[in-house]
Parts: sequence; structure tokens; C-alpha cells
Amino acid sequence: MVKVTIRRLRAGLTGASGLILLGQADAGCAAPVEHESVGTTGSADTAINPGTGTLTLAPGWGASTILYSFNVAGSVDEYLRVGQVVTFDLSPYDIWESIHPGVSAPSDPSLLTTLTPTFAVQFVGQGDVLGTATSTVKSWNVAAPYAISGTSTPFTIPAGTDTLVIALSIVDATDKSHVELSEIDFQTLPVFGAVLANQAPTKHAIFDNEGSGALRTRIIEGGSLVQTGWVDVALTDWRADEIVQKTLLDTQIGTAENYGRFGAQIIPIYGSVTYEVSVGWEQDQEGWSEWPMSADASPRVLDLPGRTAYETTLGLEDVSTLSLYFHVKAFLQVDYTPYGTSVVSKLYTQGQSVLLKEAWDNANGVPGANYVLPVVPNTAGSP
Amino acid sequence: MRIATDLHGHTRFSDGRATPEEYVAFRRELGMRVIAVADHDLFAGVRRAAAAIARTRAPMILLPAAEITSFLHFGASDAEQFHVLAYFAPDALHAGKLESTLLYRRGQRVQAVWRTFVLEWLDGLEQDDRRAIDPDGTLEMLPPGDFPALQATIDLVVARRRPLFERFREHHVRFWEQGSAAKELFGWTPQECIEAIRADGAVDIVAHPARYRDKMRTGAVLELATGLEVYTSRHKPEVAAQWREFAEAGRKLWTASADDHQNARYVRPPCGTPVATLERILRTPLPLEMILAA
Repeated sequence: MVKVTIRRLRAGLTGASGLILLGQADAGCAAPVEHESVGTTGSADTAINPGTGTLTLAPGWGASTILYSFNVAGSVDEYLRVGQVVTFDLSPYDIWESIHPGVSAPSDPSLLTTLTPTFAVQFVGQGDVLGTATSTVKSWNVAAPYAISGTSTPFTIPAGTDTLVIALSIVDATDKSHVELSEIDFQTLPVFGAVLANQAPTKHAIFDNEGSGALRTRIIEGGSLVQTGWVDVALTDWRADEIVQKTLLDTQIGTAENYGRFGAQIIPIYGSVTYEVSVGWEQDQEGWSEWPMSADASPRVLDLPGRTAYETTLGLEDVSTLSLYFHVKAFLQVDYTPYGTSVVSKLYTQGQSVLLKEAWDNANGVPGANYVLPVVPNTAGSP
Repeated sequence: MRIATDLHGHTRFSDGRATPEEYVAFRRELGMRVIAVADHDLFAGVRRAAAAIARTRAPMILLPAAEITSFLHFGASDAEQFHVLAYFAPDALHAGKLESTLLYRRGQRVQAVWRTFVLEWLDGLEQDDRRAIDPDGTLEMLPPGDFPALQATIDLVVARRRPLFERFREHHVRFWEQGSAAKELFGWTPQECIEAIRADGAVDIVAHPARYRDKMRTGAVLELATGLEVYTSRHKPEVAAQWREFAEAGRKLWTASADDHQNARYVRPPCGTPVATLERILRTPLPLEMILAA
């Protein structure tokens, strides 16, 4: 992952106020989206109460081999944090194929509840294994023949952990069969709050939305940003969609002949949309800079297949505020190759990248009104 | 109160072009809150769509669904397909529950019969044509679940032997109408189809009711049906208005969908589906935040 790291650069001149000069129509960020003001509460560099979390096993579908992932749900939100008490939830149906490949799952619950899955969890921090835990489903809840679930014994994520690495062993008491699924069969899971109690705590500020509609801003570790610390700033792809009103963009690149059950017809064909995102930032009132953000296709703040976050890292000094805005450019990527020889008409040339829209993400949608994140003194000890 | 929905659309598991993941992503961008993948007669794309929603944490509810084929006047000269949408509550996705239904198993049978149907058509071709379409015998090796569905088969024929497109297109309609397998799978009446949907615990909604030629028989089916599709790309606005009036007068459930096959510009439903319809299918109240956001 490539990040742009900045420590209090004063040379930037392109400020949010300057955007107003570009004219209301272009710079106004007047997109009819709901914005949520930045709210941070709690102590300076203490992580948010991590609460409890559930990792629900989700087998991959449609592949020749099963790939497992986890849906994370916590009492606070969807993130795992240091100190969190975690359990696994799963159904025996989801692991049956792994221990008895090619054998249909029995409809008799008593033949499924003989399975005992045990998760082996490694707590990894900065590449080192800090510790391990096992978490076993000791009994199953049979609500109905096709509604069987189990919850594993809990474990607590220890300090310093930034990643969970998970493996699974399954035993079937019926025939004493046994299978070991290694960590390569599972996704690793990011954990937040590993680096807080030192002179340079790292926090993550995520600017996202809930799929569509209202925008939201969160400091994942909780509390405020901390002087002499770092903040990883991320703006998500779905938020970018909302900022540029992606569904209203004209992405047609031409027409093609389509062959279907009702015959041949001419249909519109479409290109894809990509983004360039930059962040404007200022610490206190010491001058604005606008920097490009890196597109990360596997970001820690969005540990979800197919999602992208636009990221940068900012170093914080002895200031009381960090002000931010985002500048989003939407480009149409023109590619006719998937349509082969069926292309009838072209609106662009192959490979062309066309700027479709430029929009700004300002607090409350007001041009020049920036997101302001409080920055508080570091109380974690002297250097 | 209505919620933004698209409860009827197809993927590459029948005659659509999108993957289930693409299908979900597009509707998420449109801000839809309740969606359904409703392929013809099978549920093969449902779990992938559900997984796509879960893994991306899209704020959407997926209804496991299929568009079930039945017939008016099966085997007669005036035979016509009649489609009834079957909607399950999301808890059907709990381990193995959907797979235990009659409709699901019927869908697997449809896939197996389709595979046989296509392979037999290939066997009837000249050697050169057959070799061009399936040069290394890959198709024969594929199990029914991985075998190309209708649109994928057409794409294959067009890509590898374009002149055979019309021949296959004319032939493929026999899949639903000729032979014992077609009679077994599709030769039931809409009323029998509705009873089967209900027996599986799903809700029956008549798809695009304006499409059917036999208006008298259609009316009889609608009397029985729990609901009907009012807004669809196959209904002009004035037609949809009439069906909505019919539904509301008859206290029927009604839905708003697109019947998207990804082979034309997407026609977004002009309004949402009533909360009452969705809660009947869900068998539980919609989340309050979803209603407030509507």
C-alpha cells in the first residue's frame, strides 16, 4: 500500500477558499446529499470502548473450492478493536462440505450437531505473532431442522494486535473424521487501536456513507486526533459515488448489436467510472495544501472485496484542529474490447479517459466549509 | 409509504448478462433498499447476491426469488407462458433452508434438463459446427450448475459460430414446450404454480400481468394471486396505473420492478414498492431507519 505521508508542510497554497473562485456551479459541491457533521467525543488517545464482536462465518459460493470470509458485527460498529471480546457464529451446514466433500448435508440435525469446529486465532502486530487463542463451538442451537447455529467460546483481542489470522479444525464425532483448514482458506481481519498509547498514536479517520444517502465521518479508534500523532485519512468509493452523483453521469460509450433470446437488437454500451481524489488540509490556520490520495483496492478500513478507499496519512503537530475537504474527479474509462466485433457505433476512442464531473466534498455541502477535526494534546507520556 | 425496490431482474444464471455481484452493485448505486434476483425458474444466483450484500455491507435487503414458468393452454396451439414470481423471506437463506424447498429442487432439475437440451442440440449439428462451438468437449464435462445458461449459451454460439444464432434461437423455445421434461417442469397451470409457491412458504406475485394474451384466464389467476407486478419495464405508464388501481381495489399486494436483463437501457421503476407488500414478504416489520430514509 502506497501512502503519501505529510508532516506539517506549509507550502500548500490551494485552499478551500480558493475553490469559490471557480464558480458556484463547479466548485459548489452542491450535490443534494445529506452530510453529517464531524463529531468526536471521548478522551484524547484512549480507544473507544471496544465492546463485543461477532464473526459470522460466510462460505464462498460458486467457486470450486470453498473460500471462507467473515461478516463482522460489533456492539459498537463493524470494526474490530484491541480489547474487544469476540466470538464466532456459524452453522454446521456452512462447514459440512469442508469435512465431507461431495456428500449432501443430512437433513437430520442430530447428524450435523456432531461436528465440533475449533478456530485457531493468531494475534499479529506489525508482522509478529503476539499470541494465540482457540475458540470452540461446544454446542449447537437447533431452532429448526434448517436453522442450526452455534456460537464459539469468547476470546479477547490483546493489546498491540493489528491483524487476526484465523484457521479452523473440524471434527465429526460420528465417524471421527477430521479436517484442518489453514489460514489461507480464510480472510485475515484488520484490528484497530494497536498503536495508541505512545508518543505517536495512529488513528483512522474514515469518510464514508452507508451505501447511499447520508455521509458520515468517524474516528475508528474513538476520541480525538492527537498532537504528534498520525491520522490515516480515507474516503470510500461509495462516498465518492454519492459526491459526484454517479448514477446521473452519462456513461454511454456507444452502441452494439446484442444477441438474445428475442433476436438481435442494438443496445447502448457503457464505460466504467474511476475516480481521482485529493484531500485539502490545513492544521490550525497555517495554510492549505491539496494532495492526491492513493487508491487502495484492499484498504484496512474497508476490508471488503471489491471496495476501494482513497487514502493518505497526515502527521499532526502541536495544533488544535485539522481541517479537511475532498476534491473528487470522476473519469469515464472507454473500453470497447468486451464487445468485440459487435460494436456498432463509438462515441469515443478506445482507451480514452474522459473527465465527466468534478465535485468537492465539504462539510454540510457548503462550499469552503471544511470538515474540522479537533486535535488534543498527547497525554500518553513523554518522548 | 413506499421503499425503493427492484424485485424482478435476471442474471447470467438465466437470460441476463450481469453477474449477481454486478446486479447488486448497480442497484446499490441507485439507492435501492430491497432487491431480488429473480432468474427464470432457479435460485442459482441468490446466494452469491446475498453474499455480495453481506460482504460489502450494502444497506439492502435481498429477497430470495425466482420467476416461475407455468403455462396457459400447455401443449395447445394457443399455449403461452405465464410467469409467477416467488418471493421468500430472507431467513430462507439460513443454512440449507432454501435448498430444502420444492422450488429450489425444481430449479436444479431445470438446470439439468437445460444442459441435456443444449448438448442434444449440439449433437445434432454438423461436425464442423459442433467442433467450432465446443472444440475440446468442455461443455460435456460441466455439471448442470456450471453449465452456461440461456444468455451465456447464446453468447457462446454467437462468438464461435455466428451463423448458428438464428437456428439456436428458433430451437431454444422447444425447451419450455416440447418433450416430457418440459411437461414435467413447465406444464402446470398458474394456479398450480401459485399453490406450489405457497406450499414452500413463499409469496406469489404475478409478473407483468399485461403481457398475457388470454385476458380471461389471466383475470382468473389474478383473483387467486396474492399480488401482482404493477411497475415493470414491460408496462407503459398508463397500463401500470390501471394495474395499480386493480391491485388497490382488490386489496392485492403490488410491486415495482424493472425486469432488467441488462440488454437495454435500465428503466428505473417510477416509484417504490409499498411497505405493506414488503413486510408481508419479509414476515417482519421493515427496519425503522429504512422507512425513515424512504
